[in-house]
Amino acid sequence: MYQYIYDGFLSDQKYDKILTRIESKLTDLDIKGRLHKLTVQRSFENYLKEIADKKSDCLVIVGNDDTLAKILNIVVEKNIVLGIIPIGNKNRLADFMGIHREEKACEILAARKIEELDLGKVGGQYFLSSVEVEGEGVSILCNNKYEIKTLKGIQKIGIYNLCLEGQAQNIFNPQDEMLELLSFSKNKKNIFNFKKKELKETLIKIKQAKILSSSKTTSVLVDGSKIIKTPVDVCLAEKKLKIVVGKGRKF
Amino acid sequence: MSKEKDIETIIGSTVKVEGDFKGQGDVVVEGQVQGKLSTKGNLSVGENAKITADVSARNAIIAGELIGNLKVKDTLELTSTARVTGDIEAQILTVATGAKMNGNLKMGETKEIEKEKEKKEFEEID
Repeated sequence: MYQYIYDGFLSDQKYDKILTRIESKLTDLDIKGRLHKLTVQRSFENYLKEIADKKSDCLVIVGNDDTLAKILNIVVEKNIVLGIIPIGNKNRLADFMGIHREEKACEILAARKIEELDLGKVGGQYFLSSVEVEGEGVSILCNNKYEIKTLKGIQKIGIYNLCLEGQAQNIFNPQDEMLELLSFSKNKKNIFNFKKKELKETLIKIKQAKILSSSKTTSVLVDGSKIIKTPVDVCLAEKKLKIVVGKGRKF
Repeated sequence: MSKEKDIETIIGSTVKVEGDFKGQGDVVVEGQVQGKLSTKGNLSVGENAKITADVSARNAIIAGELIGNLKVKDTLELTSTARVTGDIEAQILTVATGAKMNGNLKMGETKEIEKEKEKKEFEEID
Protein backbone atom coordinates (compact mmCIF):
# COMPACT_ATOMS: atom_id res chain seq x y z
CA MET A 1 0.00 0.00 0.00
CA TYR A 2 1.17 3.50 -0.86
CA GLN A 3 0.92 6.51 1.44
CA TYR A 4 1.42 10.03 0.19
CA ILE A 5 2.67 13.00 2.16
CA TYR A 6 2.02 16.45 0.72
CA ASP A 7 4.38 19.13 1.99
CA GLY A 8 2.84 22.21 3.56
CA PHE A 9 3.81 24.56 0.72
CA LEU A 10 1.43 22.67 -1.59
CA SER A 11 -1.58 24.15 0.21
CA ASP A 12 -1.04 27.24 -1.94
CA GLN A 13 -3.80 27.50 -4.55
CA LYS A 14 -1.33 27.64 -7.43
CA TYR A 15 -0.58 23.93 -6.89
CA ASP A 16 -4.23 22.79 -7.00
CA LYS A 17 -4.23 21.93 -10.71
CA ILE A 18 -0.91 20.08 -10.52
CA LEU A 19 -2.11 18.02 -7.54
CA THR A 20 -5.36 17.16 -9.31
CA ARG A 21 -3.39 15.95 -12.33
CA ILE A 22 -1.10 13.87 -10.12
CA GLU A 23 -4.01 12.29 -8.23
CA SER A 24 -5.73 11.45 -11.48
CA LYS A 25 -2.54 9.84 -12.83
CA LEU A 26 -2.13 7.80 -9.62
CA THR A 27 -5.69 6.51 -10.03
CA ASP A 28 -4.98 5.58 -13.67
CA LEU A 29 -1.88 3.65 -12.62
CA ASP A 30 -3.78 1.99 -9.76
CA ILE A 31 -1.30 3.14 -7.12
CA LYS A 32 -3.56 5.55 -5.28
CA GLY A 33 -3.19 5.50 -1.52
CA ARG A 34 -3.94 7.44 1.61
CA LEU A 35 -3.09 11.15 1.48
CA HIS A 36 -1.60 13.12 4.36
CA LYS A 37 -1.18 16.87 4.21
CA LEU A 38 1.46 18.41 6.41
CA THR A 39 0.37 21.55 8.18
CA VAL A 40 1.98 23.82 10.73
CA GLN A 41 -0.69 23.06 13.32
CA ARG A 42 0.42 19.49 14.03
CA SER A 43 3.70 18.46 15.61
CA PHE A 44 5.65 17.51 12.53
CA GLU A 45 7.68 14.62 13.96
CA ASN A 46 4.78 12.97 15.79
CA TYR A 47 2.66 13.24 12.68
CA LEU A 48 5.32 11.54 10.55
CA LYS A 49 5.82 8.77 13.11
CA GLU A 50 2.08 8.16 13.08
CA ILE A 51 2.12 7.83 9.30
CA ALA A 52 5.19 5.62 9.27
CA ASP A 53 3.72 3.29 11.92
CA LYS A 54 0.81 2.44 9.64
CA LYS A 55 1.64 -0.49 7.39
CA SER A 56 2.73 0.73 3.99
CA ASP A 57 4.98 -0.63 1.24
CA CYS A 58 6.00 2.78 0.09
CA LEU A 59 5.89 6.24 1.57
CA VAL A 60 5.78 8.86 -1.16
CA ILE A 61 6.69 12.48 -0.54
CA VAL A 62 5.09 15.07 -2.75
CA GLY A 63 7.26 18.17 -2.51
CA ASN A 64 10.94 19.01 -2.84
CA ASP A 65 14.41 18.45 -1.31
CA ASP A 66 13.33 20.09 1.94
CA THR A 67 10.45 17.61 2.28
CA LEU A 68 12.92 14.77 1.91
CA ALA A 69 15.23 16.28 4.54
CA LYS A 70 12.31 16.46 7.00
CA ILE A 71 11.28 12.84 6.56
CA LEU A 72 14.63 11.09 6.03
CA ASN A 73 15.27 10.02 9.65
CA ILE A 74 11.88 8.37 10.08
CA VAL A 75 11.88 6.59 6.73
CA VAL A 76 15.32 5.10 7.42
CA GLU A 77 14.54 4.11 11.00
CA LYS A 78 11.27 2.42 9.96
CA ASN A 79 12.91 0.76 6.94
CA ILE A 80 10.22 1.98 4.54
CA VAL A 81 10.70 2.36 0.79
CA LEU A 82 10.69 6.03 -0.16
CA GLY A 83 9.13 7.44 -3.31
CA ILE A 84 9.32 11.02 -4.56
CA ILE A 85 6.93 13.09 -6.66
CA PRO A 86 8.90 16.29 -7.18
CA ILE A 87 7.13 19.61 -7.51
CA GLY A 88 8.86 22.94 -8.12
CA ASN A 89 12.49 23.87 -8.72
CA LYS A 90 14.28 22.79 -5.56
CA ASN A 91 14.49 19.13 -6.52
CA ARG A 92 18.15 18.33 -7.09
CA LEU A 93 17.91 15.02 -5.22
CA ALA A 94 15.03 13.86 -7.40
CA ASP A 95 17.03 14.87 -10.49
CA PHE A 96 19.98 12.82 -9.22
CA MET A 97 17.66 9.84 -8.75
CA GLY A 98 16.39 10.23 -12.32
CA ILE A 99 12.87 11.16 -11.23
CA HIS A 100 10.95 13.52 -13.49
CA ARG A 101 8.61 16.23 -12.25
CA GLU A 102 4.95 15.94 -11.28
CA GLU A 103 2.79 13.34 -13.07
CA LYS A 104 5.77 11.85 -14.95
CA ALA A 105 7.09 10.81 -11.55
CA CYS A 106 3.96 8.69 -11.04
CA GLU A 107 5.03 6.35 -13.84
CA ILE A 108 8.46 5.92 -12.23
CA LEU A 109 6.71 5.20 -8.94
CA ALA A 110 4.53 2.54 -10.58
CA ALA A 111 7.60 0.88 -12.17
CA ARG A 112 9.04 0.43 -8.64
CA LYS A 113 12.73 0.22 -9.49
CA ILE A 114 14.21 0.28 -5.99
CA GLU A 115 17.84 1.00 -5.12
CA GLU A 116 19.58 0.99 -1.74
CA LEU A 117 21.73 4.04 -1.07
CA ASP A 118 24.42 4.69 1.52
CA LEU A 119 23.68 7.23 4.18
CA GLY A 120 25.83 9.33 6.44
CA LYS A 121 25.16 10.01 10.07
CA VAL A 122 25.94 13.32 11.73
CA GLY A 123 25.19 14.06 15.36
CA GLY A 124 22.73 11.13 15.46
CA GLN A 125 20.84 12.25 12.34
CA TYR A 126 20.98 10.74 8.89
CA PHE A 127 22.11 12.69 5.86
CA LEU A 128 21.90 11.74 2.22
CA SER A 129 24.11 14.31 0.55
CA SER A 130 26.62 16.36 2.53
CA VAL A 131 27.99 17.95 5.69
CA GLU A 132 29.81 21.17 4.81
CA VAL A 133 31.93 23.74 6.67
CA GLU A 134 33.14 27.05 5.28
CA GLY A 135 36.48 28.81 5.54
CA GLU A 136 40.01 28.24 6.79
CA GLY A 137 41.00 27.02 10.25
CA VAL A 138 38.64 24.04 10.10
CA SER A 139 40.01 20.84 11.58
CA ILE A 140 38.69 17.36 10.74
CA LEU A 141 39.96 14.24 12.49
CA CYS A 142 39.63 11.34 10.05
CA ASN A 143 39.41 7.65 11.02
CA ASN A 144 41.05 8.63 14.35
CA LYS A 145 44.42 8.59 12.58
CA TYR A 146 45.09 11.90 10.92
CA GLU A 147 43.82 15.44 11.03
CA ILE A 148 42.99 17.63 8.06
CA LYS A 149 43.34 21.37 8.55
CA THR A 150 42.09 23.88 6.02
CA LEU A 151 44.47 26.62 4.87
CA LYS A 152 44.21 30.04 3.26
CA GLY A 153 42.40 30.06 -0.09
CA ILE A 154 39.83 27.45 0.80
CA GLN A 155 36.14 28.16 0.29
CA LYS A 156 34.64 25.14 1.95
CA ILE A 157 35.34 21.57 2.93
CA GLY A 158 32.75 18.85 3.26
CA ILE A 159 32.04 15.21 3.83
CA TYR A 160 29.85 13.89 1.01
CA ASN A 161 27.84 10.79 0.34
CA LEU A 162 26.80 12.23 -2.99
CA CYS A 163 27.26 15.64 -4.55
CA LEU A 164 24.43 17.22 -6.49
CA GLU A 165 26.34 19.96 -8.27
CA GLY A 166 27.31 19.84 -11.95
CA GLN A 167 30.25 17.65 -12.91
CA ALA A 168 31.13 16.88 -9.29
CA GLN A 169 28.30 14.37 -9.06
CA ASN A 170 30.14 12.06 -11.46
CA ILE A 171 32.90 11.30 -8.96
CA PHE A 172 30.56 10.15 -6.19
CA ASN A 173 28.97 6.77 -5.84
CA PRO A 174 26.29 6.57 -3.14
CA GLN A 175 26.57 2.77 -3.16
CA ASP A 176 30.32 2.36 -2.51
CA GLU A 177 29.97 2.19 1.29
CA MET A 178 32.36 5.12 1.65
CA LEU A 179 32.06 8.83 2.29
CA GLU A 180 34.21 11.35 0.44
CA LEU A 181 35.98 14.29 1.98
CA LEU A 182 36.21 17.06 -0.60
CA SER A 183 37.51 20.64 -0.50
CA PHE A 184 36.78 23.58 -2.79
CA SER A 185 39.11 26.56 -3.37
CA LYS A 186 38.01 30.18 -3.56
CA ASN A 187 39.80 31.01 -6.77
CA LYS A 188 37.79 28.69 -9.02
CA LYS A 189 35.32 30.52 -11.27
CA ASN A 190 32.92 27.63 -11.06
CA ILE A 191 33.97 25.29 -8.30
CA PHE A 192 31.79 22.47 -9.47
CA ASN A 193 32.77 22.60 -13.10
CA PHE A 194 35.55 20.06 -13.02
CA LYS A 195 36.24 16.56 -14.22
CA LYS A 196 38.05 14.05 -12.05
CA LYS A 197 41.18 14.11 -14.19
CA GLU A 198 41.46 17.88 -13.69
CA LEU A 199 40.67 17.77 -10.03
CA LYS A 200 43.30 19.39 -7.85
CA GLU A 201 41.12 19.68 -4.79
CA THR A 202 41.26 17.37 -1.84
CA LEU A 203 39.50 14.06 -2.33
CA ILE A 204 39.85 11.42 0.38
CA LYS A 205 37.64 8.39 0.98
CA ILE A 206 36.72 7.99 4.63
CA LYS A 207 34.28 6.11 6.84
CA GLN A 208 34.39 8.17 9.97
CA ALA A 209 35.43 11.69 10.97
CA LYS A 210 35.03 14.32 13.64
CA ILE A 211 34.63 17.95 12.66
CA LEU A 212 36.22 19.97 15.44
CA SER A 213 35.39 23.47 16.61
CA SER A 214 37.59 26.39 15.72
CA SER A 215 37.58 30.09 16.44
CA LYS A 216 36.12 30.81 12.99
CA THR A 217 33.61 28.00 12.55
CA THR A 218 31.12 26.75 15.10
CA SER A 219 28.56 25.00 12.92
CA VAL A 220 28.16 22.68 9.92
CA LEU A 221 25.51 22.68 7.19
CA VAL A 222 23.81 19.31 6.68
CA ASP A 223 22.22 18.48 3.29
CA GLY A 224 22.22 22.19 2.51
CA SER A 225 19.49 22.97 5.02
CA LYS A 226 20.09 21.89 8.64
CA ILE A 227 22.67 23.55 10.88
CA ILE A 228 24.46 21.58 13.61
CA LYS A 229 26.96 22.92 16.14
CA THR A 230 30.55 21.62 16.21
CA PRO A 231 32.27 19.47 17.40
CA VAL A 232 30.30 16.80 15.61
CA ASP A 233 30.89 13.16 14.66
CA VAL A 234 30.26 12.11 11.06
CA CYS A 235 30.23 8.51 9.89
CA LEU A 236 28.84 6.11 7.32
CA ALA A 237 25.51 4.84 8.64
CA GLU A 238 24.85 1.14 8.99
CA LYS A 239 21.33 1.55 7.61
CA LYS A 240 20.56 2.27 3.96
CA LEU A 241 17.88 4.26 2.24
CA LYS A 242 15.54 2.27 0.01
CA ILE A 243 14.32 4.58 -2.70
CA VAL A 244 12.36 4.31 -5.95
CA VAL A 245 14.57 5.59 -8.78
CA GLY A 246 14.19 6.37 -12.46
CA LYS A 247 16.13 5.12 -15.47
CA GLY A 248 17.99 8.42 -15.76
CA ARG A 249 19.62 8.19 -12.32
CA LYS A 250 23.17 9.51 -12.10
CA PHE A 251 24.85 6.64 -10.27
CA MET B 1 52.92 5.62 -13.37
CA SER B 2 49.20 5.48 -12.89
CA LYS B 3 46.50 6.85 -15.13
CA GLU B 4 44.73 9.83 -13.61
CA LYS B 5 41.38 8.05 -13.57
CA ASP B 6 42.79 5.60 -11.02
CA ILE B 7 43.65 8.29 -8.47
CA GLU B 8 41.87 7.56 -5.24
CA THR B 9 43.25 10.22 -2.94
CA ILE B 10 44.15 13.84 -3.53
CA ILE B 11 45.55 16.13 -0.85
CA GLY B 12 44.76 19.55 -2.28
CA SER B 13 46.75 22.77 -2.02
CA THR B 14 44.39 24.29 0.54
CA VAL B 15 44.74 21.59 3.21
CA LYS B 16 47.36 20.24 5.59
CA VAL B 17 47.30 16.62 6.74
CA GLU B 18 48.80 15.83 10.13
CA GLY B 19 49.24 12.29 11.44
CA ASP B 20 49.49 8.77 10.07
CA PHE B 21 48.01 8.80 6.56
CA LYS B 22 47.66 5.43 4.84
CA GLY B 23 46.34 5.14 1.28
CA GLN B 24 45.42 1.96 -0.58
CA GLY B 25 45.42 3.33 -4.12
CA ASP B 26 47.20 6.16 -5.86
CA VAL B 27 47.85 9.35 -3.92
CA VAL B 28 48.44 12.87 -5.23
CA VAL B 29 49.82 15.52 -2.87
CA GLU B 30 49.45 19.18 -3.82
CA GLY B 31 49.26 20.52 -0.26
CA GLN B 32 51.08 19.83 3.00
CA VAL B 33 51.63 16.59 4.90
CA GLN B 34 53.22 16.17 8.32
CA GLY B 35 53.71 12.84 10.09
CA LYS B 36 53.72 9.64 8.07
CA LEU B 37 52.54 8.95 4.55
CA SER B 38 52.28 5.50 3.01
CA THR B 39 50.43 3.92 0.12
CA LYS B 40 50.40 0.58 -1.65
CA GLY B 41 49.83 2.47 -4.90
CA ASN B 42 51.67 5.27 -6.66
CA LEU B 43 52.54 8.65 -5.20
CA SER B 44 52.74 11.98 -7.01
CA VAL B 45 54.00 15.05 -5.16
CA GLY B 46 53.25 18.39 -6.86
CA GLU B 47 55.65 21.29 -7.29
CA ASN B 48 54.13 23.36 -4.50
CA ALA B 49 53.60 20.49 -2.10
CA LYS B 50 55.51 20.25 1.17
CA ILE B 51 55.89 16.93 2.97
CA THR B 52 57.56 16.60 6.35
CA ALA B 53 57.13 12.89 6.86
CA ASP B 54 58.54 9.43 6.28
CA VAL B 55 57.05 8.25 3.00
CA SER B 56 56.59 4.85 1.37
CA ALA B 57 54.97 3.97 -1.96
CA ARG B 58 55.14 1.55 -4.87
CA ASN B 59 56.22 4.17 -7.43
CA ALA B 60 56.72 7.90 -6.88
CA ILE B 61 57.18 11.14 -8.79
CA ILE B 62 58.44 13.98 -6.64
CA ALA B 63 58.27 17.58 -7.88
CA GLY B 64 57.94 19.35 -4.53
CA GLU B 65 59.67 19.44 -1.15
CA LEU B 66 60.14 16.33 0.97
CA ILE B 67 61.83 16.29 4.37
CA GLY B 68 61.98 12.71 5.62
CA ASN B 69 62.98 9.24 4.52
CA LEU B 70 61.56 7.99 1.24
CA LYS B 71 61.11 4.29 0.52
CA VAL B 72 59.91 3.36 -2.97
CA LYS B 73 59.38 -0.26 -3.95
CA ASP B 74 59.89 0.17 -7.68
CA THR B 75 60.55 3.42 -9.56
CA LEU B 76 61.31 6.86 -8.15
CA GLU B 77 61.42 9.95 -10.34
CA LEU B 78 62.73 13.27 -9.09
CA THR B 79 61.83 16.17 -11.36
CA SER B 80 63.90 19.35 -11.75
CA THR B 81 61.95 21.11 -8.98
CA ALA B 82 62.27 18.29 -6.41
CA ARG B 83 63.95 19.01 -3.07
CA VAL B 84 64.49 15.91 -0.93
CA THR B 85 66.19 15.97 2.48
CA GLY B 86 66.39 12.44 3.84
CA ASP B 87 67.41 8.91 2.95
CA ILE B 88 66.12 7.42 -0.29
CA GLU B 89 65.52 3.75 -1.07
CA ALA B 90 64.35 2.64 -4.53
CA GLN B 91 64.81 -0.01 -7.20
CA ILE B 92 65.08 2.39 -10.10
CA LEU B 93 65.86 6.10 -9.80
CA THR B 94 65.49 8.90 -12.35
CA VAL B 95 66.85 12.32 -11.43
CA ALA B 96 66.24 15.40 -13.58
CA THR B 97 68.74 18.24 -13.85
CA GLY B 98 68.18 20.69 -11.02
CA ALA B 99 66.72 18.22 -8.52
CA LYS B 100 68.20 18.56 -5.03
CA MET B 101 68.96 15.53 -2.86
CA ASN B 102 70.54 15.45 0.59
CA GLY B 103 70.81 12.05 2.25
CA ASN B 104 71.84 8.46 1.75
CA LEU B 105 70.76 6.54 -1.30
CA LYS B 106 70.11 2.79 -1.51
CA MET B 107 68.99 1.32 -4.78
CA GLY B 108 68.79 -1.73 -6.98
CA GLU B 109 69.40 -4.29 -4.28
CA THR B 110 66.71 -3.25 -1.81
CA LYS B 111 64.63 -6.39 -2.34
CA GLU B 112 67.67 -8.66 -1.98
CA ILE B 113 68.68 -6.93 1.25
CA GLU B 114 65.14 -7.40 2.58
CA LYS B 115 65.20 -11.09 1.65
CA GLU B 116 68.56 -11.54 3.38
CA LYS B 117 67.23 -9.81 6.48
CA GLU B 118 64.17 -12.09 6.48
CA LYS B 119 66.45 -15.16 6.09
CA LYS B 120 68.61 -14.04 9.00
CA GLU B 121 65.55 -13.47 11.16
CA PHE B 122 64.26 -17.00 10.38
CA GLU B 123 67.70 -18.49 11.10
CA GLU B 124 67.82 -16.69 14.44
CA ILE B 125 64.37 -18.03 15.35
CA ASP B 126 65.40 -21.59 14.38
